[in-house]
Amino acid sequence: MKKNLLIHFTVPVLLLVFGGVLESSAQIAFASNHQIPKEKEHQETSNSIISLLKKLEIIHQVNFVYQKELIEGKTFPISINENDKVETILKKVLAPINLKFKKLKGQNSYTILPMKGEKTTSVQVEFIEILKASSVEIPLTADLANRKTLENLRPNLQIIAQPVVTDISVKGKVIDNETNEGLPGVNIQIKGTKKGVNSSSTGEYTINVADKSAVLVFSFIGYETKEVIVGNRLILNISLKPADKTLEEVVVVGFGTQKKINATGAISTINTKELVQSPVANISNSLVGRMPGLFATQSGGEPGNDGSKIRIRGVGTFSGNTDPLTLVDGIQVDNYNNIDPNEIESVTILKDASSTAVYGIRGANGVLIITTKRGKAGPPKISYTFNQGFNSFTDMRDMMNSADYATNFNSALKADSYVTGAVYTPRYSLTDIELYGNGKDPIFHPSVNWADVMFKKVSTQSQHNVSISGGQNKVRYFISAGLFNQEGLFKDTKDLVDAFSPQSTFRRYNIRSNFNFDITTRLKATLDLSSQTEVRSGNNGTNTERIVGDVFRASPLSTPGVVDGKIVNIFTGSQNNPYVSLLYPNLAGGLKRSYRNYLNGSLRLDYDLGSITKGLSTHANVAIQTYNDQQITNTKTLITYLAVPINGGPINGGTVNLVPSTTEAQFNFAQAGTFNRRITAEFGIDYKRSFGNHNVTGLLLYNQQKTYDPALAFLIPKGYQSYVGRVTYDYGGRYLAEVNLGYNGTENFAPQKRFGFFPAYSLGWIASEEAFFPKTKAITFLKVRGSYGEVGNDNIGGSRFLFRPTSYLPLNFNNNTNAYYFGNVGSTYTGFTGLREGATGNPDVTWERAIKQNIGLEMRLLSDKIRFTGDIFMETRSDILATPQTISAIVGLSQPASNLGKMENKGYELDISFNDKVGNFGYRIAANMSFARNKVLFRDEIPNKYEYQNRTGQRLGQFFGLVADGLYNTFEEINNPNRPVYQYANNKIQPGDIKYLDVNGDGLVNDFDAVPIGYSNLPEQTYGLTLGANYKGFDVSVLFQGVGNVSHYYTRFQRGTGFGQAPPEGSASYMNQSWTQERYDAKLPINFPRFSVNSGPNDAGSSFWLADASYLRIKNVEVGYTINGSLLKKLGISSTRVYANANNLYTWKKILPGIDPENTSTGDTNTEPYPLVRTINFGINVKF
Amino acid sequence: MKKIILLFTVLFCSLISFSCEQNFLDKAPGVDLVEDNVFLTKANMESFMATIYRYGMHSIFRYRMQGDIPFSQVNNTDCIHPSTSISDEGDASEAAFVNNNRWNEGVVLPNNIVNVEDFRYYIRWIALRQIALVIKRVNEVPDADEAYKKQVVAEVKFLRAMNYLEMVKRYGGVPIVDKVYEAGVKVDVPRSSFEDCMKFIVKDLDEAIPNLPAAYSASLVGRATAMAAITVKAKALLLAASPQFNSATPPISMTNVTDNKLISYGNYDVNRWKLAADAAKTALDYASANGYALIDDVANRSPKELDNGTTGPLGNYRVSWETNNNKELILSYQFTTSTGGITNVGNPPVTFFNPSCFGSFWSGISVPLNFIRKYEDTLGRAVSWDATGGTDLIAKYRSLDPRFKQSVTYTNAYHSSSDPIAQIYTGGKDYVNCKGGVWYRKYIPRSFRTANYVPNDPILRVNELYLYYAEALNESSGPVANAYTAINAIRNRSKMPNLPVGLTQEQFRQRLRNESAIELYGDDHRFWDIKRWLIGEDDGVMKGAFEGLQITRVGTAPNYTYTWKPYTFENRVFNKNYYLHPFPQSEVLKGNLIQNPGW
Repeated sequence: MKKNLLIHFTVPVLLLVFGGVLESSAQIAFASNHQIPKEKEHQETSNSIISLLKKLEIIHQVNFVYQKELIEGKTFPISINENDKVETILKKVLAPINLKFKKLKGQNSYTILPMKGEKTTSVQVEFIEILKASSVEIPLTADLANRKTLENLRPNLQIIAQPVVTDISVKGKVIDNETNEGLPGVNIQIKGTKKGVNSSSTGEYTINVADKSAVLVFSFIGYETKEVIVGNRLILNISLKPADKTLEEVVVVGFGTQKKINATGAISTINTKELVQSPVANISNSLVGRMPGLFATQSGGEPGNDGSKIRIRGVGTFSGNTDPLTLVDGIQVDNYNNIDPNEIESVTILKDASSTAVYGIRGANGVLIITTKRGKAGPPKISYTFNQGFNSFTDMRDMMNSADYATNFNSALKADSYVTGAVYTPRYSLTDIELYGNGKDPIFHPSVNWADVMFKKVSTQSQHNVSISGGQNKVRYFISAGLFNQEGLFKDTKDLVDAFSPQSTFRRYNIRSNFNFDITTRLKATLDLSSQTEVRSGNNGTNTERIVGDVFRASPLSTPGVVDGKIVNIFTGSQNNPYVSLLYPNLAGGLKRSYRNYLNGSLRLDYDLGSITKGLSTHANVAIQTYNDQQITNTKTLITYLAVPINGGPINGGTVNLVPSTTEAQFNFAQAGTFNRRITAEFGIDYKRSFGNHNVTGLLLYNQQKTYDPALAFLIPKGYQSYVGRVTYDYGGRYLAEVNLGYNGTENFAPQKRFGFFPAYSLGWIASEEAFFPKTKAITFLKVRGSYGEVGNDNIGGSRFLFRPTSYLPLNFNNNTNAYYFGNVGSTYTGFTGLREGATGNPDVTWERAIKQNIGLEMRLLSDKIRFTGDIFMETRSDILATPQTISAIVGLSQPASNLGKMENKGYELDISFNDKVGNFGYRIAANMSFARNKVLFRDEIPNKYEYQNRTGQRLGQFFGLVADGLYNTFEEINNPNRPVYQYANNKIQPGDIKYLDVNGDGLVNDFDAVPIGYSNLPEQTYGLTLGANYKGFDVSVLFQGVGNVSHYYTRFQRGTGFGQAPPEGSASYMNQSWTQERYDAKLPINFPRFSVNSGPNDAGSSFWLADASYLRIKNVEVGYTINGSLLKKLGISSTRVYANANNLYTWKKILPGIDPENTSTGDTNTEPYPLVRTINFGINVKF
Repeated sequence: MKKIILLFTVLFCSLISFSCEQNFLDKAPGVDLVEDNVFLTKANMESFMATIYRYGMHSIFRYRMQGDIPFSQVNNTDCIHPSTSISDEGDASEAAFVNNNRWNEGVVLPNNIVNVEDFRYYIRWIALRQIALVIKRVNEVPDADEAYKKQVVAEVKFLRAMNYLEMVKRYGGVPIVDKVYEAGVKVDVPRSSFEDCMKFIVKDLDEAIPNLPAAYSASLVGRATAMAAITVKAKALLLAASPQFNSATPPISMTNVTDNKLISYGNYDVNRWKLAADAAKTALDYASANGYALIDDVANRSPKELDNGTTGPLGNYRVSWETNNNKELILSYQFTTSTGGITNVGNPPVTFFNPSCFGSFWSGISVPLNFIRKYEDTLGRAVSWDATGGTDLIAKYRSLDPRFKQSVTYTNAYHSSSDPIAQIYTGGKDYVNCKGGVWYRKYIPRSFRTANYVPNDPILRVNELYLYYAEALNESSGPVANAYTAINAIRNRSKMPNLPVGLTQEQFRQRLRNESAIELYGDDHRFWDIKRWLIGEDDGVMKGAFEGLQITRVGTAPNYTYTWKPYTFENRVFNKNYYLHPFPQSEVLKGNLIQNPGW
């Protein structure tokens, strides 16, 4: 191990040190080259080949293209007849000096090339063209074959024959060839030298060149680079063409970028424009519906706690972690949701093995990469954004009022008495029900709508962001500061408890500065510093879900809530009083404030090792992240009162006495904190080079990461070591091949099992580049790609270090290490510590391994108006960590976790967009759809009595239950001798009970009739549809998002009346449509079985309570107007955009009202998610 | 240029020094506490013994072993009530989540048995594994003397016998596990016959008794004594002689008749009753020779309950369960309170079964009239509770066996200092959900204030031996004088008159069963006795109409009277297969267990 490491380390270091040395010696060599005036040394003589070629151009009306170095100073000793055939002359002249020529296709031009085997001396292949006496500036590109301008050139011998020795001052203006506006900050460099200038803010420049043959290189990000020979001109006006985006577009891949057209992996990206459209705090929430392959579920809307759960291509394992690996600018982060969307350039997800294999044991769940914005050379650009948003709940469950509640409670008791054989005794008298209904006794017969009492209608959120970017050639910067403020929807409680408000609030401060330094032409540095500070305030309970749960759990009649500014109960014993839950949650009481700070710094150096061999570069990167969290809690006992009626209470002319139930106590203060840090270091060697039609890139990289977290077992930091390799190859931009290798280690496994090797292979074919491919507008681009590879997952669940031998543990229980007490209680008792068998070790435990396959098709149709990407994928995950299930419990041992599980996951993704412009009206339709279905192949499940009950072979989380076939309505149906016998409710079935199917036909309805019903609670389908249009300054876009193939099992609160609970709980108003004889006789709609307190067959898990949780949402709408007036320009404002956008505007769903389909809670716990919010937002963006 | 080289060198040297530590990836800490450590010192051995007691002792309250269960199969929120609310002893009507209700509703199933009754199913096997380990390795403990080693082996054998008895009474024959199995290896040990299991239990006890001390020092009270082992033996032999197992055929036959030996002896042998009687006699003799006895202070045989919001004198019967480690207790689970609450269990038991009308508690147990009818009057006569009802409930209660008022909270009773007068009548706060008409209050002492109070959890008591002896004698030899003596000792210490002489064997049997129900009320006996005697199907025992009292307060303060009228509050279900528990469904599907009949 140690040896290995040393080798791995010394190699790159040696390379680096050598690289440095070589670099310096190379510099000297070059310097001497450059310092000697070429013209003096290589004065062209009459028998120089250059002179000859120039003559031939005139005589034969041909053009020559060549690399100057090849023939500079070369002569031909033999005599030549200049009127011979050009090719004959060339053969004679070039062969002796190891050169050859080639006629360029379809033109009267020749290029001169070295013979095979002859190495060029130059570092870079540069074509230089013999000058013509034309004042037109000539674009020079490597692709001469396509160049048409050559034909128009007219030779002019005179100019060439007279070399100029003195400096020439050239001036000009650089403009955009579409807008004709001056381009500031364009880099103008004299080719082959380090000399260069930048264009001014108006696009003008002046540069001194040595001679007329000097070549000026105009380069600017986002534009095609242009090379122009100065020639005779002193004024050179240049128009730059914006780069063809489709050719230049790059995609972010693991440890680097690739040209999008060359990528063979399955990758999706969205950029800043779409991200900032969503007025949300979390990036995860703005990704929803916008990227194929991304499944997101947002299960709550609480400020600061509303992020979506992201799954890439669904879920492939039933154990451990299914979160994707998340990286910001190449550095792994645990929380990406706190980044200001305004700082982000793009978000990319890597989906298949080809793109994720380099992450090895971290990559199996996919990878999400966030790239932040960087500065571009130019004057400072200042952008300020302000958003003001208004939040309200998307939906709220309407609850039963007290009169209905009491009436229904009585019907429940009545129905249950049939089952239990009890005598029906109503709980609420008719007088009670009347008082509940008429509100005449608000204290002792209340009817409280708790949601109205506890929640506000609207709360606000606001966001400010200012960013400045710009720079010169050598230093570029992007700095940004943001503030986000969000308030929750609980009502103010200041009048009840003046000490604090347990309202959920969230405030975030973001600061980022990204710097790029070009220290030398070869050495570049990047420095990124960012911080996210979060301030949360809220109740000091276990969670807000419990409080929301209590709001919907409280019955309307259990307490009037607040009387005379005092929190009141009217019954003794345990109560659900939402005020108590909010102000004194879980008896912990009070207020919790939390201050979280994330500090991230990253330094990266890139060094061009072109001096060793062309195309070689190296980089090193060190990043340090720290996170600390301080929690301050202020607690205080809540004073509640018991209302006691005096002389029959107000309704009988008496009074109310409020008796304190608790006594005042002092404030308590406590604080807790945590501190985490992570250090990541990386060293890599990149290689990129073209040999004719062969384009090769390579990457060798070492990466290590260590996370220090006080919560980690044994306080041992968590480390990763990765060796990464990648080779890509393309031939002529048509045939693509790529090999990615990851070799990763983690301390989570036994020393000999720590490292795993994860290779992936991919191939691609760009058919549209083939000569035979018809060049029509119908299909402008066609690429087919496929990948196969292995990826791992080391987050396999269970505790850390499962490989350790079986350990014994001291028994520790409720912080008491005593296992048992002997002796007399209170006098002679003695605690005895305990020792017990702990986790059973398994030395063989290792990572999960996923084999992923992917085939993709990319097309652009109708002159690129339609773009289409389609992928199908299939993944098999093996070695999933699970506990053997089939060993009898009589061994008295918790069996060790083993890598025994197996699962598959397959599906497809489609992404299609259509862009067009009719006059000033541009519009866009984009749709994406993803489908992923998984299946558990093996998990050592105990075989069920009936095979159809096995979970193996089903999708993960598949719901099982009885099949409900409506309700029984009459005793006639129930007394039918053919009705299956219910093992529920002792077969005492009555009208209003659910009719279950006897699936296995044994005459009994029991748990053996539970079969797969519906889907799981993770959607299998997700889709998004974006419609966008712009007309002059106006723009509008709408995002529809939806999911399908997903089920939700109603929780106890949602499906029940809560009558059977102690104390009785509230019930949704839709439950009023439960079966009663009266409703049935009156033919009123009946949606639910009869009421019940706790006796009946209707609570058995069945399809009756399983909802189709698919939905379609207007996830986002945005309308904007951009002002580009001259008035603004006078104010120094370059553009202003005002806009309004909205999130979660409307939802079409099939689930019961008041329940969000994304609510994934499945258990019958006492919690409910904080409902999702709808945000309506107004914003302005000003650019200076 | 030099700067650049320097910069890179510094950067990468730091990178190397950072990563070329011995190993970049940390080593997991070694495991320094393994099985060997248990047997390294006597002190460690004692810790291990404490653990075995923790897992191996059962509790009549069936505490949640919250957060303490290595097996994920156990839902630690379940099974929170004493078995009282399963049988005619009680009704847990306040909360639907009390799983004992499932028995009354007839929805006990193989896949919920662990949650509705046998929550120790998995824990027991852990204890048995630990016990086998002690027997295998105790000799390795270097600083333990032979006497200690013998005592430890005897203790674990006692605990093993007790756990097997707990299993056998639930399931019949179960697999005999007397060794330590390897991890990850399939084990296919089948069920042993009922007879072999009984032999295994008796053998363990016989081997344990000679090596167990008669008593411990005060600080070790609660460990297994010879008295405890002798008592368990009497209990085991009584079970073996009982109608459920001591018969030619089981109540329901197994699918494969040859498997009936798993759940029955296959014949009736009166000698089994003889053995049981002898064992009980031995136990009684050993008890009186070693200071165990019934609490029988003549002055306190019939305490006067004041029923006016203050406590009266403490009766013998109440003392026997309300005071910790009294002379009547043979073995108790030693729960402990300490500052800040309970240190030995998750939630204190009183939280679960003290009625919620008395504070923050979950679900009280009300006592059905079916059971109240068993209380004789103070003269030893049956009491009639007419369907038409009566006008003076207080007087009715006053006429009952003194043990009635010591076992339950009734109208106007003193419950605790925070609720001095129980308002059990229509409109009274303590009547809601009190379907039976009185609340179970045994093990909720009068001094009780908060839920954190933890009573002694008596597992074995002297009074049960008298009843075992009387029962076994009557079955083996008829109602002989010694049988009378034994049962009358129990009755007399609560000022109940002797049983009339000249009863037939059957009459004596019925009187004895009634006496056992009253004397051992709420002590986790009734549910098992009903099964042992095969009387679950009898009307009103675990099946049929369950009645309560409608109680109405009449008159004006302070001269209230209380009228009563019986009403049916529920009809219960008892299926014949209930006599034996089903094995957990998942365990049966693993292949080595044959499921009990009817499940």
